[in-house]
Amino acid sequence: MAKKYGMVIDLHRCVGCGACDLACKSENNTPDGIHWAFHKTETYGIFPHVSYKHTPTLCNHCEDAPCVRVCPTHAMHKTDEGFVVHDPNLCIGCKSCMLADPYGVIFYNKEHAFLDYATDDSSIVKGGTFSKKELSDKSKAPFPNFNAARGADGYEAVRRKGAVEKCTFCNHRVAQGLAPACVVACPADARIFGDLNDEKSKIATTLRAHKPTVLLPEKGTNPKVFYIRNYN
Amino acid sequence: MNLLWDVRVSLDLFLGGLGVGAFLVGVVLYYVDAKAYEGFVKKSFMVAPLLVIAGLLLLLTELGRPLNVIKTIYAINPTSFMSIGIFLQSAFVAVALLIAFKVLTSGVSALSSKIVYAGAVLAGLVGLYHGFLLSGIAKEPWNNAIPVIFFVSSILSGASLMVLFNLESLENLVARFKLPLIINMVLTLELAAVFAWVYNLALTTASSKHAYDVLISSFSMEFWVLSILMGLIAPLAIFTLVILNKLSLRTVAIPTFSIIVMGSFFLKNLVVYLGQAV
Repeated sequence: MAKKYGMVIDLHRCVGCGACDLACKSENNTPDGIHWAFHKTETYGIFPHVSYKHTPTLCNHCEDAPCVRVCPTHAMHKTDEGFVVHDPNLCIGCKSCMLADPYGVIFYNKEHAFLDYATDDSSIVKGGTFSKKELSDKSKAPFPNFNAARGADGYEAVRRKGAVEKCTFCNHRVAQGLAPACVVACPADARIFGDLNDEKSKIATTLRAHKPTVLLPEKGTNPKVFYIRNYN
Repeated sequence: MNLLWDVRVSLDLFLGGLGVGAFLVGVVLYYVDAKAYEGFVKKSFMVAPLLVIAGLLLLLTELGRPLNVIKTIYAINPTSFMSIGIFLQSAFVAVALLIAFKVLTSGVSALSSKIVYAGAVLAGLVGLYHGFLLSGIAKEPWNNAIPVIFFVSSILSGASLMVLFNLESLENLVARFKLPLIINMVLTLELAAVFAWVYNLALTTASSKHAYDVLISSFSMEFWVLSILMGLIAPLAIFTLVILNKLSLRTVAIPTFSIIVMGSFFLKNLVVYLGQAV
């Protein structure tokens, strides 16, 4: 049976440290304002019976993904392994996917990302630390807009303005037998990633042991990111 | 409000709708009596492709990567209305330009009725596509009433624009077609479609109720005053007075047909913005 990847997030284990957010930023070189991995926090109840909830969020890699349905060029598409990924070579920048996405996890590169790496020559310690421009010039890499992860998967690696982007479940790492960066970085092992079709996998046994929930089930998108042990 | 689609998308839908409406009214008069309405038909067929092209050019400036549009020719997604719409609009523009060229060089009598028929079918599909572009995204305010609202609004605004461009034919149109009566019927149909849309929003789900709350609170001016009162109810009332011989159509024609055209823009713009606000 073909592999079908998914993720479980154990909300009892999650400590809300944000290591997943940071690991994703580091792995995928996402610019300011673009969060492939993120979180939402809620405070609810009436004093003194108040509570706080931290929910990590990312692309749900839905089985019936609205973003894939509306994309006019198949730039946003679904792979056989269940990843919902985006090919910027085909993207026309219409933002239909963002409008159709009920979770708000698709982002648009309105400006050239990291443009300051081509222009900013100020340094924290003058003569002591590299400026962004020096770093970019001396490394001779297409560094400012470069998304190594995307390039490793055969996509356009330079992040130009005018296209959308989102979490890929780190499919470049999965192809090498590694777990997504957010899973590895989690200090509490709150995230479990694996093949949903493999009955013996940790994710499949976990999903059998707990009653999972998904975000916005009423949308009927059949997400592949599951939450277990919700506090509510 | 974080807008992903700004006024350029509304203008594309508005200008495209005007073009489609103008073309279809030209088609009707072409089949009724091409000789008697030659001037009207000629203007309709000339204006229609220009309006649609103007809208498409505005839309291109909205796209992040407009040059990639060429890739929509081979990277087709049958579940995306935009993907289908690109082909429909291209086909309509090609046929409409051909008709405009024929009309300009050889006159209306040189047109083949088959190509006019093909143009009419494509115009109808493009007019429906404008609404389906939004309803296909499936946000609460962009429900399945939108294609009907947009299509009827396009017919109304396109026909009104062409009447404004052909005021010399007004008496003839009134005598032969009872123009105020027809316009009032279409205005009533549009009001009914808008009512169905709002009713659906107000009563269906929690999300649609939220959309309704935003509509009547944040967009009350655009909705009640500019779209409904100015764009639909005022012309309906004025044409009723004309039918009852209380007013002369010639006196009120310019302001009334103008507010119908403006109301169409405000209504489409409101729908585009509301969908993004909730």
